[in-house]
Amino acid sequence: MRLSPWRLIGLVLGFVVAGGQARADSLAEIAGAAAKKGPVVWYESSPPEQILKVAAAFNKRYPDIKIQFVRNTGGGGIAARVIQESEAGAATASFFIGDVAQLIPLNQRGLLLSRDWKSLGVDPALVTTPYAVAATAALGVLVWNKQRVADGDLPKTWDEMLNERWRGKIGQWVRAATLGTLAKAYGEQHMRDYTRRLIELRPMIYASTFQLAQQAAAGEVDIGMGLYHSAQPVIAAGAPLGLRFLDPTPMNTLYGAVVAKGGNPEGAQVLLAWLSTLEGARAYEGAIGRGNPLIKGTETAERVGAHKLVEFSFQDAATIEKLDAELTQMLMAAEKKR
Amino acid sequence: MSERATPASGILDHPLSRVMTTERAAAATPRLGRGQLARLLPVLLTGALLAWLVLVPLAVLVVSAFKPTGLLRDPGFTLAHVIATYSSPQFWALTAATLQFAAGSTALALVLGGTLAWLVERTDLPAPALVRALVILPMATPPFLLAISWIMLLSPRTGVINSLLIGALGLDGPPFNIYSLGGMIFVEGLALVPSAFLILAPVARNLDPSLEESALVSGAGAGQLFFRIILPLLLPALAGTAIFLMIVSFVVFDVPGTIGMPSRIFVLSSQIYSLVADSPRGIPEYGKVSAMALMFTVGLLALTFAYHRLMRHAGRFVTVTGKAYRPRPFRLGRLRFLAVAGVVLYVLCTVLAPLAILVWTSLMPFQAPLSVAAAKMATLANHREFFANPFIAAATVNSLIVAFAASTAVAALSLVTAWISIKSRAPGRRAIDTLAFLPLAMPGVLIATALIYVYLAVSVIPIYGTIWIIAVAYLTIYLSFGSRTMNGVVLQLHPELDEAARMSGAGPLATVRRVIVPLTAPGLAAVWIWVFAHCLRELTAALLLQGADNATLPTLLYSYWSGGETNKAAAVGVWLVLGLIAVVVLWQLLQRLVAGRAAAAIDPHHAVVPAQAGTHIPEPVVMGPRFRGDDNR
Repeated sequence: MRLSPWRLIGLVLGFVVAGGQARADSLAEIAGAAAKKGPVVWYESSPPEQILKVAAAFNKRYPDIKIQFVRNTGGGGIAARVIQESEAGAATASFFIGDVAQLIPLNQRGLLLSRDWKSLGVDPALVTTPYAVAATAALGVLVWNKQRVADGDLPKTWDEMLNERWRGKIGQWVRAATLGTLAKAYGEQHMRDYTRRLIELRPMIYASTFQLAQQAAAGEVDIGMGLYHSAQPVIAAGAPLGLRFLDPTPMNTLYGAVVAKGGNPEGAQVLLAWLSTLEGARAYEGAIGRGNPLIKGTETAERVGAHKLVEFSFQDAATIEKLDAELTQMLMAAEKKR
Repeated sequence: MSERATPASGILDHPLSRVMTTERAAAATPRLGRGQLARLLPVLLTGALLAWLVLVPLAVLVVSAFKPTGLLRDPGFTLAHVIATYSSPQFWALTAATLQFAAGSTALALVLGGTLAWLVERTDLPAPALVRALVILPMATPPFLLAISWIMLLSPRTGVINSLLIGALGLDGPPFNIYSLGGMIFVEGLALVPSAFLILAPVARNLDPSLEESALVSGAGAGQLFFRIILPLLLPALAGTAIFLMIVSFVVFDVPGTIGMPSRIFVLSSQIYSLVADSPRGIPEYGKVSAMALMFTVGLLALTFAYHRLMRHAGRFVTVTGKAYRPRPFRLGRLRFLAVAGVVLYVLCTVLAPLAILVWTSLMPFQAPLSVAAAKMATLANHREFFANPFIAAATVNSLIVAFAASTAVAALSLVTAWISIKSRAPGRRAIDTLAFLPLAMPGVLIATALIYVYLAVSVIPIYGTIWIIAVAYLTIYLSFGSRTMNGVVLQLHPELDEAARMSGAGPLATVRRVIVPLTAPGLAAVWIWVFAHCLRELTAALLLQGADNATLPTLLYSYWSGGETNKAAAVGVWLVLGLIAVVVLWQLLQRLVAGRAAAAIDPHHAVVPAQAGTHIPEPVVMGPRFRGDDNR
């Protein structure tokens, strides 16, 4: 059958309009559908006590959508868990927050729900792909022990952290995510050399940046490349820990995503849309300590201020993943002279 | 009657029991049923269950090593992980570091545990019962907590002991650095001492003292006595114990993961954990992990069988006979004070100092070094939260349920496997014995990873993500301990008892209920309590199997620690240790309570049993408790 050009255009337009209408369901309609389903199962690395606060704030706005939280300590196993559960046909998450490295394999397996997030009122600045929305971010900062290091002695650039005076007194997270991200500003080879020089300073390597912050506060290390949010609880507890943004500030965005095979993908969409609002972002930031610098009005955005944020784009995910793995491998290579 | 003993096959099949049963083992063939099928049915069912628990996870790991992503359901096969792993110099460096760590920890545990065993069992050390309890007490401190505590005590810049020594002696730098291979060996060695002690104490106790006395009468000095008499007699048991401790230290994660990482000292287990839990590639590198596990498992299996074989033949070197004896304690003389000081130092290092620093940290709002200024900040907030936080309460309940279920299942299955492998003549009994022993060579992290696959695939057993999958993991992990212990117990039971029951008209169930279970009750209780205590402190498997509502106390503790909430972790740790101390004390009390019953129940009329051994329930094999009311001394 031959189609005239006008008929073809009409068909295409009709398809687009119909599809657009299907996806442009209002948030209220989706919320209504979500309320009829079971809980939104949420996978994340944060402690349940904190997520419970976020859920409580969410339920003030959407009281009929229940949230069930499953913690994945460290967060490294979230993607694998979703893959294994989905492939086995078992119950899995409806919603999770993770990094690009986790999103890509899940999307490649067709496990993530893609949609037009802007139609749900999500700020376009938070949407770089149809299957995820920027929910929060880990920001690399300088942390130091205020009792051991005078303000005047503090490094003012990342390179100054490699000064010989910090030998044996510098802390570093075992994951090289922050180091890898700085390659966006300085280049990959520079960061390889940087990591090599850092290792020569015999840094203390910690399993998490939370531990790094604690150990800096305790005085076991003087300075370290920490993360903004993991220093917050230590500072709040009254510990002598200082925090400073250096330029450029490495940022690793963490994305919220909806698992298509989850029990309540509608509820997950509502949750993700809510987290991208100022109300949701503040609730999340207040509970977890990790804010979204891309949403104006959050404390994190205010703290970042005019500092220059650097991050690899979503499209460069393979590059950063490879570099991250390489630098992490360097940090984890066995130390021989201890 | 055959002279050939029933294959003993135990980690610590008690030497005494071997002598006792040498002649009667062959006759110990109970008639489990009238027909052949009835006789084979228990063996088949037990074999199937063990295959499910042990072989299926093992098979999952092997297949995973050859999958491109390591994920079982993904298409294709590859040798890439195996080739990449075994051609990598880093892997062999890791293996070398692991061997160093395992050998060092084993040596330390063996020297300390062996010395303490000798002091308690064969010398005039004062208050031996108390010392015995104190030596076992560190079992109440999870190795993970012990590691955290020693970090706080011996870290180079803020460690309490280093700070005190620097201040007191005017030193330029810290005399100790816990973040070193030596530090790792020190803490792991301490953690293994109770195991070494519990394995070696009965061996030391049951050596024939007449040989020592003959040597002394012949004018041998202490050195000659030790090197020419005692050491040769102990050698097989020492070698067996060394292999066992090597296996344990090879697979352990807690100490290397906590102390090794900051100074970039990795061993295979911590590397495996990092690849599973902290891979920068987004998905755990299961393929690499499984490839590493292949060598791990093959190597450890070789050690396991070497151990098995050594302990099987250990009995030939043990000189306990049916004669009643009461060995004369070796007089320590002036060394007595040194020995007491050593015991005090041991308790200080393993219980008091770690507990004290945990208490201090739990009272601080953030991790602060010991000082008068910091003491002013002391608060009970973390302890109040321990009792008020619903997640902690839920985790406590989960821990107790999992520990109860797993310890009960381990005790029951261990009795069945021991009965089949020791008392029956059924074909396949050796396979059952081997299957029950195999999990010793499988690291908990790998068992847990495999179980995720198994129970996701088998939806008819809906335990994935629940506390029950953790219980199944513990059943698998601790089965080797339980089965070895029960082998020792069953070996000592005279077949006349259950034969008499059957001849009196009791059916198989009645025989089990009225004869076998009461006779083995002390051993079962020993296994139950040991497994219960270890389940309460196990971290790795529980962490990987975490679901919506199945957090346990150790996983909660770890999440506080890794999340930077060291002080909350310390508060949980304090209460966990106190709870575990209560379990250990209960165990000691139970030991005394059942000793009398055991004396009456075990082989009361058999002439070969030594007077003292009449009350003897074999030492549980590994870290096994004692159920004796008296002392052989």
